Amino acid sequence: MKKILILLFAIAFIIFPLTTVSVKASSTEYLAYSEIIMSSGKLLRDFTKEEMDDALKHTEGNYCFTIKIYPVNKNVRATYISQTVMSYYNTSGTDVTFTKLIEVETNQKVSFNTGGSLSASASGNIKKVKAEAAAKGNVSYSKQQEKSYKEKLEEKFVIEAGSSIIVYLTGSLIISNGVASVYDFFYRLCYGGYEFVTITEQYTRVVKSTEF
Amino acid sequence: MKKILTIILFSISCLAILSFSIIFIIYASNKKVKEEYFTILESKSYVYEENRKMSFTIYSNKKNSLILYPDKNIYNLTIDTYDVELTDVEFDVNKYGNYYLYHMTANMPEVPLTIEDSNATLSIHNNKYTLKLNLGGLSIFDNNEYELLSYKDLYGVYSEIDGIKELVGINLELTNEYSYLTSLKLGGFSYGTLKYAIPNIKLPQDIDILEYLPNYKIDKVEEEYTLALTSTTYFIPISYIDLKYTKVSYIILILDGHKYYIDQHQFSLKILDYDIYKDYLIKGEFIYD
Repeated sequence: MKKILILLFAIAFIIFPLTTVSVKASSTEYLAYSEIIMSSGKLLRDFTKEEMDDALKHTEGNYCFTIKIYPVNKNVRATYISQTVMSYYNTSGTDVTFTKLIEVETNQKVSFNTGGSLSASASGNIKKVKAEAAAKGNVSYSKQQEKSYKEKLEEKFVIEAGSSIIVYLTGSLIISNGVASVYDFFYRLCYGGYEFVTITEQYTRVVKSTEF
Repeated sequence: MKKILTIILFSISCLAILSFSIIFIIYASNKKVKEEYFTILESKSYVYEENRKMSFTIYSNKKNSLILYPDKNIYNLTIDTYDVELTDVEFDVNKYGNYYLYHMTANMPEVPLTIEDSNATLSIHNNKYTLKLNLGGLSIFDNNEYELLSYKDLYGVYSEIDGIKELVGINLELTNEYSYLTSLKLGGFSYGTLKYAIPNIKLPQDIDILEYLPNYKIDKVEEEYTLALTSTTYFIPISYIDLKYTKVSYIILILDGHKYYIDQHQFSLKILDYDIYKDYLIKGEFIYD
């Protein structure tokens, strides 16, 4: 009777997590940036299948109720160019003075992203992976803002006939990524990549062009 | 009998623990937290036009403060000898580590002429206290005698000075050609060091300024200098009379003897981490009637 109970208990631990509500890791703004240049290494989205499999090998084994983390890039500096904040095209035949209220969301949060079957796993697992990966990768996210505010500033420009103007954000990032495997009762529940991206500097740039 | 006594004693203990817990919770929730307010000294230079807004950043340990209610407060801005009540005040509150960040906006007051003060103050009056906050550098520019300048590219260049990332110059590409630049002022508090301007270059936004200009000094404001322009693209280093972190600024230039301005520009959007900028942190002062 005792053996049957232990077996049922073990099965419950395996099946139950697979049937809990899955929560996707939140998609993060930085993935929409037009350019990110890292001083070394790659973003998670640029890992090849071979690179991912090689990294994941470091997290394989007979583990019980544990999370195995393998950091690939630790606190790598990068620069970025965001999406366009504002653009205006002067298709008229005369120069114009154009006034625009530019709204930009200030951003100092640490973004966290996951891939593979990890991103479809329960939110509890993702939280644990985040904490473990942050500890192993020396990532500080305790000061994470829960919300950032919108900075609004009205700005006036002279735009010549046949010219366009764009305003965008640039700045610096710190990126840490790697792979993780979550283990249940000697069973690998889910695995995949993780990534922390921290915006450290955020500037605006105004550029005019005669090409549309 | 023994069992009954045990049950009675156990019940009394549970009740005692529960009562004590309730009393403690009520005491802890009613305990007044000492309010604290801080500002980080920044530099903001605006251009006056009707219906424009300006913003201020205040840090506090209180999530819900009396100062956040415009119907219960009067907000006074003092720039040099100019004192004005701010209108259409709004707040946006966000958690920031162990503190709260109040982002305050208000209508930009109309000015009779350009005013600037490197120690502007914001006073918030209500029926309990007056809170005085030092804002740092604040300038409101009257652009009446200046022509709006056309340019092709503008961005700030930053470098670490004594552990802090500061605006050390601007990269500017003009639309039109000019012969001489005799003055460049960034807002109310910093000046172009024209003697060391570098033509035909677009530097990265984050640099080590000493690699490009070994003699650069952020607090050495040069005397007048006439820069003969050989290009429309320049890196122009900036120096400060009173160094503060520049967030918003207009630019005034004298090109070929004519006065031009570039409208207020959001150079940096960074939320200043008060742990890194703690030397710039100023505690608000309470004045009680």
